[in-house]
Amino acid sequence: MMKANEISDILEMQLKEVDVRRDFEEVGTVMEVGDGVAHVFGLEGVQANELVEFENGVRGIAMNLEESNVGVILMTAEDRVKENFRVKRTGSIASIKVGEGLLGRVINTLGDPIDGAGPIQGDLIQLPLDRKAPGVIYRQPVKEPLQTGIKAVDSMIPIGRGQRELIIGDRQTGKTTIAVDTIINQRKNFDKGDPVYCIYVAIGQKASSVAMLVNILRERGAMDYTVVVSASASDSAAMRYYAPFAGAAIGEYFRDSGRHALVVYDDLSKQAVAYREISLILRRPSGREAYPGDIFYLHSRLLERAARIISNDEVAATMNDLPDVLKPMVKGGGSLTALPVIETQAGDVSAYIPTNVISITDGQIFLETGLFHEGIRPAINVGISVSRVGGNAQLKPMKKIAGTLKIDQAQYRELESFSKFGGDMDPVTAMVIDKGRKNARLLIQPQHAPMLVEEEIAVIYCGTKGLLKDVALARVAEFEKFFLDVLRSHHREDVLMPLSKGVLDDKMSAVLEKVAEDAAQRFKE
Amino acid sequence: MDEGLIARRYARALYRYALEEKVAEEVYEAMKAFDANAYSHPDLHRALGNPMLAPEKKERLIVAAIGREPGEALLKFIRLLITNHRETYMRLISFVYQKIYREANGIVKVNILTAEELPAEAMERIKAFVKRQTSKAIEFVHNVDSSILGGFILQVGSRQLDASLRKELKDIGLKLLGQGY
Repeated sequence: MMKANEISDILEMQLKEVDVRRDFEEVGTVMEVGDGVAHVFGLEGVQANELVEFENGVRGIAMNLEESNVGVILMTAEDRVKENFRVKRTGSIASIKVGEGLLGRVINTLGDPIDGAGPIQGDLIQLPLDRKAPGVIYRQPVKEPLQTGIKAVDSMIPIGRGQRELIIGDRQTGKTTIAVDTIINQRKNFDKGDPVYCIYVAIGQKASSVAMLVNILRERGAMDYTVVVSASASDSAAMRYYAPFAGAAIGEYFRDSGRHALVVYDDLSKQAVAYREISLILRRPSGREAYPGDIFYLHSRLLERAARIISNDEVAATMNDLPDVLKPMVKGGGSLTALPVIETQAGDVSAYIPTNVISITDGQIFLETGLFHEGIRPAINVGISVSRVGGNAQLKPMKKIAGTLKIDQAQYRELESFSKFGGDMDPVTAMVIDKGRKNARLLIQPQHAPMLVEEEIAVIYCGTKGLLKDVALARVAEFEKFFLDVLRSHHREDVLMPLSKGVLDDKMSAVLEKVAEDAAQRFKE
Repeated sequence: MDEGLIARRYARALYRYALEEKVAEEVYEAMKAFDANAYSHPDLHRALGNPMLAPEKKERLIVAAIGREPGEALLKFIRLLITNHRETYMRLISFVYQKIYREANGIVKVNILTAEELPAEAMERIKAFVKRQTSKAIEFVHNVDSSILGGFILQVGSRQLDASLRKELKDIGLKLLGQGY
């Protein structure tokens, strides 16, 4: 125990050393605490989104700033903060530690590892969770493709680097699978030494689902270039609310250092629900479906951070809102592609959150339960799925071949629903329906089996050119397998290689047609 | 909703009324007493928010929490608060009232928390130090809390200087773990 005189000695010594400005910190008192939110009296100079620390070390973020009342949301240990606790400002805003060491790890919103593999290694820098998106002059049009390895997506709803493409659909329609397959498909880029770093943000999901997903990624070798951020269903609303921002901050680290990154937010409807929870507890006025008025801004500011950065390094170095720690490593030409996921209820895309996010993103992939049960997987509804900017980013031969595929398939769907009424069909309609049916079969793809882009092009070439008209509907898959086997073994150099580089000439077309014809003979009706 | 607004309006009205009635200081003392009791009994807030409790009982509860004769003006105010169903804001109102009173009278509240009782001489030195920092009248409160281990925590208004051993140990711990903000 300290002696009284010792104390006073320490006091005197310390008093002499006190730098009044620096050492004094601003404090407040907890008035009321409940449901993960503490109402604090005092903290007059606190900034929006500033980290505050309670006397027992628990941290929170100041969300509501009022004259004599500050609403603080608690990230963890909600039950450890009590009334009358002292709260102090920390002067720093909510941030996450980012670095190469995150790759292959599973972390929570705060950046702490939760995969039991020890601390994050290597140099880490602190990046703010919430940061302004790059301005107009720091951007460049989307023109480089991001291959998903999914035939239906790469041909009809292409995604470019820096794009924001929404994946929307009911539960159990394969939304996550599309995102995961896209991540798995980036393995080729990683092997080539031009990686697209992936960040998968799981929001409000079961911890078991996240564990399963991490296993899948690990088995396919995708964890080498992937970070998983998880805020599971049992985490606090604040953790779930900030998880996508943490993902975006990690993505920005790669984007601003001139590299490519892909971030999947799975899913934003759960983040919106977490934000609604927080807003209601903070007693903010509620609007439609009880969401707060700034729910649109929540998603728009998050998704605006996905961008293709200008390739000029000097211009990129002057980017707005660039954190100081990032300045030495800034390079142009990077990109951050976002694949937000939204879950609809009974296919209702006109609900509040789906319409919001549809209008923010550069297109959407709409998945349908009906198609899923018919066996059309990925269950993409071609009619209302769209990519507004990806077309410019497609490889030339893909664009040429698949140009009409989307319209043809949409038309076929309509005609098919008519033909269900029975009656005779004219030969042209019958042909359109037959071709559509076979193309739909051709676009079916098992999960976690992404394809090479050159093979995608070759297969879709057969579909759009009507080379399958003699093939039995049930044998389309066999046809595809055989066709690809022949190409791989006999035409790697003269067809597949040039296709992957974006070249398609008459000679190659002739080879494709010849191989397809031979294959079609084998799988005749 | 800006909840501070409610408390601010009630507190300002009470201050003006108390000034008129020339009881501003008594009300200030009463608010301090209420605050201290609310601090030591966190259940009070919950009880005040309980709709099953009759208004008269709530009035008695608040008066008991003040712990002294509240005076005519404050009693009227408490009744108004209960009639308007704003009794749960009493704590915040007491904070805001104290703030308004201190600002109006040029008082600065200084809290000092130590691990042990301080000798008078040490207290004097601290007081002298604080007086050098401000030209305002000073209201001293000294508390003892052994959990800070040693040193002191000095709070002047809403700013605090944490020179406790507990904080130093925590800082060392964080430094060793390589964790900061």
